Amino acid sequence: MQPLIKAEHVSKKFCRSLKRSLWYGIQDVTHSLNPWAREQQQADLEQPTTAADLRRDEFWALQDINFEVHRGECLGLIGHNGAGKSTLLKILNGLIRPDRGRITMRGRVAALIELNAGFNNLLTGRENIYSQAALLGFSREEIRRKFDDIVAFSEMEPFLDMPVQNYSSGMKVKLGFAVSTQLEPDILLIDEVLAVGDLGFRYKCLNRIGELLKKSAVIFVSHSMTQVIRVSSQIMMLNQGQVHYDGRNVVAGLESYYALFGGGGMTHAGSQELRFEAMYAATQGGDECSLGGQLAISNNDTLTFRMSIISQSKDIQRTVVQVLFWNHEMIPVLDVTGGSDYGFVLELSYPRTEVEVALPPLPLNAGRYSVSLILTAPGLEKVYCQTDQAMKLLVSGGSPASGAGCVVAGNWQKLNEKLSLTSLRLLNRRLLSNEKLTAADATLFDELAPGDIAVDCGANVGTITAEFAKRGAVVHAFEPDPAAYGELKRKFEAHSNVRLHQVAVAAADGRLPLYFRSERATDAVMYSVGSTLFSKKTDVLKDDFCEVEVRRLADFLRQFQRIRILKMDIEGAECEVLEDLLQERLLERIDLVLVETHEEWIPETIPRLQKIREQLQQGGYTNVFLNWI
Amino acid sequence: MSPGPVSKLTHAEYRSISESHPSADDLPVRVITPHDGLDAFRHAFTSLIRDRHFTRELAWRMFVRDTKAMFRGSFLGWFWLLLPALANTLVWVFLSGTNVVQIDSGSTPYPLFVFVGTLLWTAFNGALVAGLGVIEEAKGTLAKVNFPHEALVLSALGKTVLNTAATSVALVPFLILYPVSVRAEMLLFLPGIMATTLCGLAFGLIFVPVAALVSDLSRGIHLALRFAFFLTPVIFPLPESGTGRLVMLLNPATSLVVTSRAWLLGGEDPMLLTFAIVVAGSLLLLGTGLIALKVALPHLIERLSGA
Repeated sequence: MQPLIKAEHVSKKFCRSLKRSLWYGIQDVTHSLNPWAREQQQADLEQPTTAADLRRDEFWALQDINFEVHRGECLGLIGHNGAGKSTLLKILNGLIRPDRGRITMRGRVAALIELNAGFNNLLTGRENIYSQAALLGFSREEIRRKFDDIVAFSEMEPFLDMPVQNYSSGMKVKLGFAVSTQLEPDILLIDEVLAVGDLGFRYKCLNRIGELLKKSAVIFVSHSMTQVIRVSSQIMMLNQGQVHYDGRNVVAGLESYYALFGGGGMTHAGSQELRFEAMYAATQGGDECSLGGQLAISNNDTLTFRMSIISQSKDIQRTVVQVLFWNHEMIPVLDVTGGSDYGFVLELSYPRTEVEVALPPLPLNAGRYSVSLILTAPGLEKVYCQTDQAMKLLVSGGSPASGAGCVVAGNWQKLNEKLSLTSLRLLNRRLLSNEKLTAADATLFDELAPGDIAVDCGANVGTITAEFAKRGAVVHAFEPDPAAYGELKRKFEAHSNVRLHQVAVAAADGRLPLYFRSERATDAVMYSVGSTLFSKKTDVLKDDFCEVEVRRLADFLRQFQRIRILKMDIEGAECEVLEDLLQERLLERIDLVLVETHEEWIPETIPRLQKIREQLQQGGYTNVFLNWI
Repeated sequence: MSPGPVSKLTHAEYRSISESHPSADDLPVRVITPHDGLDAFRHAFTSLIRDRHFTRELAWRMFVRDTKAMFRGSFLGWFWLLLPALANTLVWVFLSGTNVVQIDSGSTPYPLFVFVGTLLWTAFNGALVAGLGVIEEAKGTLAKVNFPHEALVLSALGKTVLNTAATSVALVPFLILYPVSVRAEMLLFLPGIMATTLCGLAFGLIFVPVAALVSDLSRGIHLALRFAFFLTPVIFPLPESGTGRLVMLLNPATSLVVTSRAWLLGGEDPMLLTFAIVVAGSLLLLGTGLIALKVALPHLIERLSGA
């Protein structure tokens, strides 16, 4: 397959002096306007660029650049300021021409370079969307089609008819970004602008760029190595117009970039009443280095520092020692604490104190770090000595591609094999708000197999019963409320694996009054949810009840050796039932017990439930979940 | 920045993406080379033809944008288009009235004569300046966005035509105030003044490749235009004889002004042949200027922006 971008031997000259540059400009214009001028031949491409090709005060801003980018690939272009990155981008964008070489571009090109370059400040946001989109190559039809999307993305709808001069700079870039990224390019050129605006908008930008990245061949220029590492599939490092690194090893590319800077030497700051006489760092593998040195280490390896501190005066009795790791962007990424919040409080001996600190397995990701050693007074009121660049650390391993500062190995576990509590809570919330179950909810009960025993106490209209039944489990559904029971009967009469019981479950057999919810008159089935054996429940009427049959659940459960799931939502009676089941040691037979508690409506149950919780904890019952909403 | 969704592709994803998009072989190809010689002209010409629809749309957008913005910040608004011509006329009518200068405009009332002359000169002068400034005006955009640059020229043409048309509105009260005999020829004034505009633009455009680089040229042209005002029969008729006449005949604007004014007001001899030659030459110049500009622009942008 052909690459979308192919650059061959691209070179470009620039001139240092303005006046001379303009004069050369006139010469070049005249030359280009001469129809009989000699065209570049294939043989010219292969010729090396030499100083002889330069006129006075000229230099090669780009020299012999070659690369290819296919669809779905991203070339990260890095290098210090003035290395030629932006010049290359301008040539690729067709703004200026190379002095030598050939670039072949296939498809539509979009450039995210300066997002609001074509804005007219006097015009409104709406008018600017139209003119900017036209400038970027949208047809009139396309603009009409995409106008609403652009406005929605930019979040500028309330300000659409305000002149852009009254926009803040952040608002302008939002609008510019929204317009620029609506193009569906084959080739995308990005100069630094990966994300603009406030935090929420930046995420939107990243998502949008992510979509574009997958569909296009991308050239990405940035000084943020974290971003480069995240998006690039290959790296090209330019230095003074020449390629210093070109390849698919992104980490090696960044290394070549960091190597340009060297990082500077060790510096000492502070009062120097205390200072580090020596330092010695060692890895598990036996590599070691001293002050000002460099140490190679792997992620997750252990590191030990030994420091020797010299005191100038006997008066200083203690100090706080701190070890701080900085990443290549000079952001502190790791702080070694000890005892106190910020470091280790060390009692000093005069004149020399030796101290050693062993670090746990190093979480730092692959990259280059520098270490600072800091001695402060215990109240932080004085810095005795801060030694920056005390040593350099070259970390390998970890997860280089993420660009994250630290990497730790997590202890992962897939949860939907077992019933997940969080999902169950979500499910129940959805059931309570009368929402339909989603496909994801339904998978919760997937481990139920045909023939398993499932018990649904307080089945109400059978939403959960249906989920159990669907998987072939033998379901025993208990529901005393006549209205709800009628509904259950209607639904499950034809199901051979659903056994309905119009009884309330409790700790003893008998007959008891069932109090109805006060709203029962409006919809008996809907408000059957709160019917209870407890007259003290706050949302029921004390004089509206019917007598129902009550059965001891323990006696019923005893007939089964193993029960897969017991769901209980019985409006206050759960305390006595749970106490009974604990007493009878029947909870052991059930794989999963989900109990809804009702402290809010029946405050009297609070101390009882507290006790039950304690008992469950002492007994090690991990299969019982109270209050799963 | 916090880690986002931007991620690299696995080989399989990459394959599926490559397959779901048009093959690279079917996409339009653009080759960027140093681009000198005949090839550059060929390329400029083909892209001029290829991009014509897009150019038209873009030029229209630019025209709308600039026209809308033109008088947003002013209370008098469009009146500013008329003001220069009116002021110029008043000055010369005043001067002529106080006998400081003696000008014989024949059968035509002098204020009308001056106003029409000024109108034509302003059209020519305005178009020339607009043509000369196409790059300077769009400098910021040119250095950052790639678009068919001829749209700039087209939109500049639109703006000068609009200016001329708006100014011509002021002719109506003049023609009522100073009645002239109505003739069919008068209708030719409109194409006349448009041709004048076009010529002005062509003359401006041809200097752009150098004027955009060094300000000396455009400064010089602005200065020359001030003198040219007096070397063109704007406020006086073409002299019957003498060196003045010879110099003025060499001035391409002369035939444009004299002929158009003769069509509208009568009283002067239209210089039909010269007019035709100048218009034809200007059209040729405009075409050449456009292509030359396209060829030269990458060099101009490079020096303008300092990359």
